Amino acid sequence: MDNSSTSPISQDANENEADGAYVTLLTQHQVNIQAFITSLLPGDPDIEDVLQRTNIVLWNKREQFERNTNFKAWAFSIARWETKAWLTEKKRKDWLVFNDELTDQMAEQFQESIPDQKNEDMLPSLRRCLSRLSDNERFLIFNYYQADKSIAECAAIVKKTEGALRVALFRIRISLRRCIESHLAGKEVIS
Amino acid sequence: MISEQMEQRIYQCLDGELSESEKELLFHELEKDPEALKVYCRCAALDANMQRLAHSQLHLDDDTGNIAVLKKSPNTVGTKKPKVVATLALVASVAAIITILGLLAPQLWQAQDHTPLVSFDPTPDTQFTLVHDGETDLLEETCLQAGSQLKLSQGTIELTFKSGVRSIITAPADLVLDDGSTLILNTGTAWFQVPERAIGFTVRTEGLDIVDLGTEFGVIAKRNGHHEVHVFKGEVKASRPGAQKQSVKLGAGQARRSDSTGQLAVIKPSSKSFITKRPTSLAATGKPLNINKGTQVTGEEGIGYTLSKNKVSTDDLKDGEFTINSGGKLALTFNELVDLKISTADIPYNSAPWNSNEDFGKFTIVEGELSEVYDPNQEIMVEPLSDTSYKWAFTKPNDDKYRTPSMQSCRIDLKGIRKLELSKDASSPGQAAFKFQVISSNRK
Repeated sequence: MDNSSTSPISQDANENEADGAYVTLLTQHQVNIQAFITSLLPGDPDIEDVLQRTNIVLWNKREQFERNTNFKAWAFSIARWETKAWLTEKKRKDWLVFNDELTDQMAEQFQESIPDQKNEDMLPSLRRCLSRLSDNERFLIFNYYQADKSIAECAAIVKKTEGALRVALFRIRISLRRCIESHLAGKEVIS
Repeated sequence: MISEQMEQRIYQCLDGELSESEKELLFHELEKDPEALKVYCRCAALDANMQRLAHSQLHLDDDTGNIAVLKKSPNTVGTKKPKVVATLALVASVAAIITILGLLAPQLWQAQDHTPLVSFDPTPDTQFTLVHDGETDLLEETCLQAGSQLKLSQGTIELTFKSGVRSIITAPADLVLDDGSTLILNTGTAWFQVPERAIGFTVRTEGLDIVDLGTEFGVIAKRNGHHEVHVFKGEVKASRPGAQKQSVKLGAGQARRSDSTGQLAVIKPSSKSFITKRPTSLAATGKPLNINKGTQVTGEEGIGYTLSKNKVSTDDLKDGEFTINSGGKLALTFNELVDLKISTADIPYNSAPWNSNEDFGKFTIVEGELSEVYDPNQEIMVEPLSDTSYKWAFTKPNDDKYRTPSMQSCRIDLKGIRKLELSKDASSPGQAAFKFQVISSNRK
């Protein structure tokens, strides 16, 4: 009897284990992938669709991924490709996405300046920084992101002028970004 | 350190507020300025994290298009007349703050995290029995823990998993929660929406194991041993448990049936077999529901509807949406004569293909007349049956899966009516969705 052959049961178990590990990676890097696609398609309402396509391709190609290599780089290359494919399907030309040099730089930035562990820490940092905002500011920014509406549409709903809302959101986001960076850098948060 | 002006342009870009030429100019500048590029990437990361936080953890209603509206219940909709919008906005504000406070203290939150694995929300008059496995420390009656068994004999429930999975289950159904990521569906019809963070969520029936890969799908488990999976978005892995194990990956628009012969047969997907939004009332009650002093809505056979008020003017009901199941019937009764526009609406969370001539039924008006059928693309057929009754039918299939009913341009205009009854034929499968709008009232 050849002991080196793998039985169907153990093969199944190995596949399940590999799939499980892959799902973990995929889940861990969802925010990263979404952020990268957001940077490629700023302001585009179809970012979630591209993310979904990317996830499907990532899943389909899971057997091609070599364990213990850089999943993020692998996922970004697929996200970039899927973004291009999506734009081509929509017959849209986008200067940024088709500029390989700049998108390479962006991918590097995401690799270097927002490393995995820091992005994993970003949500708790974001929550902490949100606590430093006033109630009104929190309400405004949550509703802006939750409603998926343009600033003009949101301004009408919250009964502010478009300009006033734009300035308020800008102030909130700039303070959040700086707060998160201070927090991630281990410094005292400056409110 | 980059200038505030540059950062402002970055946010304008992320908000989609720059023209193509302005974007291109910005990206040329980012290409030459690594510090600005770094900020751009961090702003995009902040944007993605905020999106995630706002969408996954704030439980404000996400399908009304109104940021100030909370999840409605039949008891609250339209019952408070004065300053209703302001009141809802205030409630939304308080709810948002409370939710955020929960999010803002992660350690405290974790230490006191009594969030049940699954909570459920039944429609009024839903009948169910719930049995927990062993002792329970659940404070709420409508929560499941590992091992809980829920049997549904009448009505519909919405399950909300701690992991973010949503499910709508219609009676009769019998299910057991295995753990937070696995549900055993002994019998019943269930629709699932699984967020990215819950990829791997599993539904087991006697004849099928379905592992989600980030998607939206429906499962039917019948007593006769037929078990079906229908995929509407994304992908699932479906396998037959047992000795004759078969496994297949299914994408959007695919469906399989597992039967007692042990085969996984290809079947036509049917999005209309599933309810994707918890109805606000149980149909079979037949009781009129007072929406406001001017309008009554009654439903039979599984009507689901949402109604809203015009924010700026009167107390009168101005518009709403409703879905009608096969054999369902809805009546809108007004206390004065009104003009109405009826058009198609999306069935929530559903963009799967449908066939032509599947949706048909009848509508009847009391007083008034049908003044116009606006139908530039031949999407609806309206045929008179009598002076006051008409047959309606949707005539076009969904040839593009991204095309939704709300993109159809057909509309039926009714003038000076007191009551509209609209039904979907019992032989017409699935659901149909409509919008209505009161465009004027003709006071006597």
